[in-house]
Amino acid sequence: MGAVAQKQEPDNGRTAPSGAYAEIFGESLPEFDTVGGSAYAHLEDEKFYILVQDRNVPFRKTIIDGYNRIKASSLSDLRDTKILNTPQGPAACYIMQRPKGGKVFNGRPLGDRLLRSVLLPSILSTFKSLHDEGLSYRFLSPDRIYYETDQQDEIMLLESFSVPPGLQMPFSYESIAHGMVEPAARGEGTESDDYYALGVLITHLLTGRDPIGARSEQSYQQARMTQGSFAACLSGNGITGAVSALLRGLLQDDVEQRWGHRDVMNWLNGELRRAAPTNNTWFMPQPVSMAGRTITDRRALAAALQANPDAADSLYKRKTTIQWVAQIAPGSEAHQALANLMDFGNTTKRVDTTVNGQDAVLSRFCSLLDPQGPVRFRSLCLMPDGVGPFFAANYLQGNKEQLADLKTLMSGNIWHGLMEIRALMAGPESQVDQMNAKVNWLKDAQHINDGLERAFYALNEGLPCRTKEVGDAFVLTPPQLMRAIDKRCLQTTEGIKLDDKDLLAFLAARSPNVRRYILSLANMKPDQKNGILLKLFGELHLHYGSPRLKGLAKLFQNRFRKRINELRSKTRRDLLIKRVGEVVEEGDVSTLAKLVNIDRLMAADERGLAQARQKIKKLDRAMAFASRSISPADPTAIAKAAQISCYLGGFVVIGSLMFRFL
Amino acid sequence: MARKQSGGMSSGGASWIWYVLLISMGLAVSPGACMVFAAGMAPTMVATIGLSGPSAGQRLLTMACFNLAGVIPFVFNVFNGDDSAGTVLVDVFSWGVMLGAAGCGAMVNYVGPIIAAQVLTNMSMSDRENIDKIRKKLIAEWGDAITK
Repeated sequence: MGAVAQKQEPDNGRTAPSGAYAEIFGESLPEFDTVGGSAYAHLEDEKFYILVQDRNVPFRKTIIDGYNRIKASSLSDLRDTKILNTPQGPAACYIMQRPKGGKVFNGRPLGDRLLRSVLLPSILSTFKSLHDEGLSYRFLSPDRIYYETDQQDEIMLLESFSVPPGLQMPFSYESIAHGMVEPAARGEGTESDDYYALGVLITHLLTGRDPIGARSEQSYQQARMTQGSFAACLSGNGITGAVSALLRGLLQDDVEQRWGHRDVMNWLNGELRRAAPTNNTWFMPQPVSMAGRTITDRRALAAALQANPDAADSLYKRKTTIQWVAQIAPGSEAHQALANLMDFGNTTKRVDTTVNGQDAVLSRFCSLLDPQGPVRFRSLCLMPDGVGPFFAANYLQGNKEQLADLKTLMSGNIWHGLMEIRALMAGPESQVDQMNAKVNWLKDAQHINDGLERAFYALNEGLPCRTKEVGDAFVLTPPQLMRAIDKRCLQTTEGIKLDDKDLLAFLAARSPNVRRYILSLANMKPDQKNGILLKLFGELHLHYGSPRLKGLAKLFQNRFRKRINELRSKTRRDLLIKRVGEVVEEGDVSTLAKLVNIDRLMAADERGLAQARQKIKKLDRAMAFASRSISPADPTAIAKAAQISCYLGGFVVIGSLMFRFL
Repeated sequence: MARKQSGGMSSGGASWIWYVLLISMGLAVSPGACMVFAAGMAPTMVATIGLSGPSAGQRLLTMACFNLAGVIPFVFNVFNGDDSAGTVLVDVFSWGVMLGAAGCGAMVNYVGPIIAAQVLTNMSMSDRENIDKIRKKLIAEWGDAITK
């Protein structure tokens, strides 16, 4: 990167003064911009460009983490990741390989030769590398494909991690299921979704225009559902022959039948194989009339039911509907399980008649109709693995209705019921399992600050902490947060609010081992809060083995000074003050947390004080006894004298006997 | 309690039994020595009746010891035949020794408490200093609140 990069540390996360970043940030490169990242030329090395991540857009951490493992691909190389002072303030900056040969697609149709010899092999190798690592690309678009060099013999795909999956992909590139949801909620998807997008891309490049053409998204979607994606995509564009066979395979709406890497490689090698004919499994033998139109497709019916929930009630309680569910359910066991989940067809079971219950039944019915499609609940329509970015977008925009619906969806058993139906109907979805775990956690945490902040961070690992307590510092991990707090403490005399809801939510989401402390902070008095916060940061310090945190330790020292001075035992107090001073100098927050267990200390102090009071009372009694005047008539004096006199008398008798006989 | 307060009388009663027993045995062995013993120990017998108050038993024992020390030489002289009982009982010197010894016992019983009171007063002063030292140390450690 070179020495000119302005790291965040010298400025403690504050906006850099003008010119501090100018040495490496060149002119803006809008052609490489994404919704989540602004691109700048790299002045040090023209082979690279700098992508500045927008801190309000969650990046795809799984891709960043997997970048080193992705080999033999045409993906733009990620050379370095740094937190730098940028024109937008401190931010995560990615030093990306910069393509030199310009865009592959310039608006004119490409030749078949270029497709076969350059484009497809490169994209396939990239997809293979990504998919082997369990990742998907999900950002395929003609605007993201460049020639790597001026020779224009190799292509380069630009990065896909700076935006949530599918967010910026053209509508037509999404499969029917993903096309039903809004861009932020499209989800990671699977490799099958990448191959679908590849089919659309090939059509786009060969014809020179987006397959959607002049049609609206709605009419294109309708056409895809009625005719199938292949027919809708290729309508009237004149693609025939072998390429048509390839596209038929790639644009299969049935995921099981859709072509993958091996099929496309075979096609490239000249193997002639016809894709399976389109089998519309979503076709309903009994059409349903709703809102003035006749619906024959289950996916369209699910969408229509969500739009007209009042019409749903009469529909899914019909006997014919129950029989029809029996037909589409994959087996008798599944059918029984579905019947239980659906609350219908089971007269002995009490039907949930609450608003939530009715909405949940409708949502389950929609999942039954379209198990591979989006989750539909009230105003929500999202892919299960797209909850994170969707949640982030609504949280940042403050969309209360959607957030309330999300909360209802996640906090009860509605979500799990839907996932069960999806698993029974369409098989388990691996990414959904991870999401289920997070949703479970949200249920636990919802009683504090209604859980929204925690959901925001837990569902989006690619979002930095938004707390204002550390200024503009870019914080993506708990150790970074601790360092930022430490520096802030050293620089400012103003107190830092360590129980800031964003700060705690971030820690709870990123570091599950301290979650119990955060949960116990609710309804605490300030003194108790400080004790728990010290324990929390002590554990974090120990867990992450962070370097010296002198500022943070000093902050806690100041907060506990009054309490320590309240200790009655002078020895204990002086010893503690001395030891705390030493630990603060060492910046060891974990030891400080063990040392200043203020509740334990106070309890020990109280016990000591009570014992000392007892001792003082005893001493007072002894003093009163010792202070009394002793006269010869005092029984003690008489007794002592009598005792000694007895001995003396004995000696005298012995003396007398000795005198007589010796 | 009443029994304890009349402890002197009780112990005196026991002494009487022993005393009569001893004399009866002595009369059988050596009547002269026995007479001298009985006459010489008369102050103790009187004290047995009259002595009461705290530690009466011990004080009586002190008195008896001193009295006995004065009687022993003359009793053994009569017993050995060196002197006769009559010689001893009419001799002023022997009465002076026996009664003087008993008087010494009474003196010790009288002076003992005076000396003991003085010694104990001196010892209390030292105790007070030690207690005060410990008290000050505790107040320095815990503050004035400890006394409240």
